[in-house]
Amino acid sequence: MSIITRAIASADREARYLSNGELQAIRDFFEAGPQRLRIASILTENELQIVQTGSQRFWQRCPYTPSNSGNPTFRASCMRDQGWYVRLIVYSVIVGDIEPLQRIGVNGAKEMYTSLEIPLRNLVEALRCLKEVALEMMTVEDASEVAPYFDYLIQGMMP
Amino acid sequence: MSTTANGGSPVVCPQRYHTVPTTVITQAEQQDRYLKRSELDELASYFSSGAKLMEIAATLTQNAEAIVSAGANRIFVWGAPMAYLEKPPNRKNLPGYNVFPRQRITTAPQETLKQQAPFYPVYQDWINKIVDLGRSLLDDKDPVPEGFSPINIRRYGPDRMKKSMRDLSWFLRYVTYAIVAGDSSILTVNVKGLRGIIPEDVTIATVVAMQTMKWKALTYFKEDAEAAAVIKQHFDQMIADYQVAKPTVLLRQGVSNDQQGLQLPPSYSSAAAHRPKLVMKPNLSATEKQDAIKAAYRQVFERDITRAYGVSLADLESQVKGGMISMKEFIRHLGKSRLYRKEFYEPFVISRVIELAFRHFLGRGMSSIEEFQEYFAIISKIGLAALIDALVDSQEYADYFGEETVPYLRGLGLEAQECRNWGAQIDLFKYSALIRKVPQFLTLFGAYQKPLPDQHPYGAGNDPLEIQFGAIFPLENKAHTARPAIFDEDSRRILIHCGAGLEKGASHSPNLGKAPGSLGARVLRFNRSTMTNGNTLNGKAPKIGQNTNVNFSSSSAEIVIHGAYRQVFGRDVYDGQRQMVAEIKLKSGEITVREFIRQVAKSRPFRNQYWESLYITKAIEYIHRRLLGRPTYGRREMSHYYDLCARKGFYALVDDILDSPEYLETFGEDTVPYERYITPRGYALRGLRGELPIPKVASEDQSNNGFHSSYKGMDYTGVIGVVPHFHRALKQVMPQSAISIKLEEVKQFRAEMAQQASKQTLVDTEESSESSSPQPEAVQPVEAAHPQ
Repeated sequence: MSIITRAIASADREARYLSNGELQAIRDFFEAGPQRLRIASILTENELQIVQTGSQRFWQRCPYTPSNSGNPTFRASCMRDQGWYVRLIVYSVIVGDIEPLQRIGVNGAKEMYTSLEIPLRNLVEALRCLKEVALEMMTVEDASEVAPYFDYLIQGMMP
Repeated sequence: MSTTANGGSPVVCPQRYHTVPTTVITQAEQQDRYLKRSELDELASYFSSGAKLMEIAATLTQNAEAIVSAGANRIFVWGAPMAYLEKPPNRKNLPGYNVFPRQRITTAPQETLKQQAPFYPVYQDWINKIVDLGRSLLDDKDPVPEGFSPINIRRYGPDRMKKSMRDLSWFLRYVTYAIVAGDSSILTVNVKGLRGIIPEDVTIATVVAMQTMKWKALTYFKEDAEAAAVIKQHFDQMIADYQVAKPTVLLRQGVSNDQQGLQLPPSYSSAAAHRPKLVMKPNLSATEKQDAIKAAYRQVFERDITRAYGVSLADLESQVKGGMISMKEFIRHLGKSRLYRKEFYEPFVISRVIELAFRHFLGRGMSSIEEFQEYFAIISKIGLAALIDALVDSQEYADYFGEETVPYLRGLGLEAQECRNWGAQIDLFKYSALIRKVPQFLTLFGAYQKPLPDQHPYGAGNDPLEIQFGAIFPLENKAHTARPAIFDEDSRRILIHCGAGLEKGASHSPNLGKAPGSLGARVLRFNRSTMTNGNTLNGKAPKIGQNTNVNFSSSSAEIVIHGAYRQVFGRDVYDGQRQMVAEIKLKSGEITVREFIRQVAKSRPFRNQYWESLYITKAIEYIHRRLLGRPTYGRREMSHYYDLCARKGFYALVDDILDSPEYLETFGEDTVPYERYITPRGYALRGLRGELPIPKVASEDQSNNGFHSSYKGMDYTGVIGVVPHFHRALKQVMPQSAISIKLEEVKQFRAEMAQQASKQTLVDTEESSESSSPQPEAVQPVEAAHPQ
């Protein structure tokens, strides 16, 4: 789902052409396109750095957490999941909709982590660190565009 | 077919068509990777062309009527086809319709133009027609298909005309959508297969109309080659899709009786057609081979194992890359690896292992219990390796994936989905499937063979004793999708029991006839052995112990009659409502108490109160509680009563309850029914709304027959006379802490009670002997537990 598919779906349901308001919304989406792509490429190229710096900061704040317990598998899966979330945010930024993030990253994820005995509080903290590190790399304008996606994710993980 | 089980149905939104961003995202997502440079470039060019696309779409929308009329005029003769075009209802003024401020400004002038149109509709139309025809003859480049002849409107009929015009405007509408989306998949999905739906004899005419519409649309962009190319592309795509004969449906064959044969509508399969299936071939490049291997890992391990676990099966990888083993063998080796055993075998029960293995190696969920049994036999006899061999060597694997294809999830869009494992299968495909340790398919298929459990449709709890009156309980906030445990009358639970010798927690107990004892309900028994005529039950002399008038029973005829009314009606009746004839017969020994209860229950006032004014579930529930002294046992019992009420009505219901073996066993001929037990929640419902009220132990009001004044004004039907006993019973079933909180309160009430007792003169000696004695006993344990 993106802004475009949403607009088409609602127009199709009422058997009408796209209204001017919808066209305007899509036009805005197009105009913001270069910005979205810029954000996406920043996140893509700096993924490793974001994840590493973010985890360091996370371990400073929450030293007692499964990923910092010395178990290499836990550490690696923690890093993997963080990279995974950065990727989902890239998808969401590009389509301009939370749908990819919600469908894969948020629905059921809380239960998954609970069953893996990962404390949700720490997870939220890790995502916050991720957000901070990612936003520090961008201009204020780009940061304000991408921040809501991180916030949505954090909100969805709140215990 | 009746539904007997529910696998849950998560909401699914199949992606029916794509825009440029969603296509890119879906492909990247399928391979768990970031966007490639080429994809980013594609997106960038799409975004930069956005303004142009918007302009095209807006122009086409504004001139929609002219374009459609050009198409229609080309193929219809002898009439004004535009008169048959029905406009969609104007929703602008309806509530909830999004009115954008800009829209009003820009559409206003057009609307005024349209309003003028009806004055000369026919002439305008004819003029348009002639002009268009002339122009199209001049610069129409598309060859008109052979065999085209215009359609006579009068012969064609108004119904078909309306449909044709609707379809023509529909085609244009979808072209505008496709232009905005930057992807013609929306056209392909919707137009392919229309040829079979629109009558075959107008196929050529439709194509001609589309060509004319394309030509007309292009006339608005004569100077703009770029826009013309976009329009041309989508119209050509649409025409090509339309000319395709009805596409074949995707069949899924059932291999045996326990598997369904299904077909997938072509629109779904064409929407999913662009999802790449990865194939391992010897002549691929190194990166493509690496992609295929990663896809195999994703399919079998569900996670990116190289990054997470640092595991790399380098040896196997090099073999499959070098063509020494096929992809199928690679998959087989992955399944037999140590990692697979550790991740998907050791943490799970065997049934769940089979379900997960189906997902990994066949890309679907199990479809029947027979299938499960087959594989369960394999894994339990030989082991995991044999299960994986059986799956990989199966005919189905060969049909779908063969030697070279990497297995993939055969989910929505790729294949027709079975309905009987729908919810379970969708759950199985989720990323979070691993957290579910409980086998899902097996329990679902098992549930199909059982009758529907006692479960309220709005609630998760299925305790039959708690599901009362068909009510929706607002406090029910458990997870509704969870499968509740089976509960029936033999399950043990907390019961506030004041009735005949119930075993601990069992609501259904074999020794029903046993007297409740001094802690139980106050039993009113009509002792007919003292009657002058010596009429005894069935002519037999009553047993010893049955006629001994212990202090908890009461035998005076007035008291029995009084108590019977209170039990049946839940209140004292008015004089006019008394059944005088029955009372006299009872007193004279002509009828038994059971017969008396029957006549009271069949009386006009009772019918009014509990039958006519209530809905059927509530009526049955009330009557059952009144006459049999307990709640109903859920669906099994209720359906019996529903049936009875529907066929025979109210009187048969009363007879059925009073003649039931349970009634005879519990109350016999001479005992007035009493409430045997209620559930804690049932008790809570009688208190103030909300939490379980803590009984105020010491405040029994003698003049009000042991009924606490705080219960006044509540629905106390059924509580009368037994509330003190609830206090005592609660003392036994509730944790001490719950009571001890109220210690201060209890002390206060004790003081009050002492004052009252000194003032009060006890009128009824029988009652006082019963209700005053337990009071100190009720308070004692609290103090004993918490010495201060």
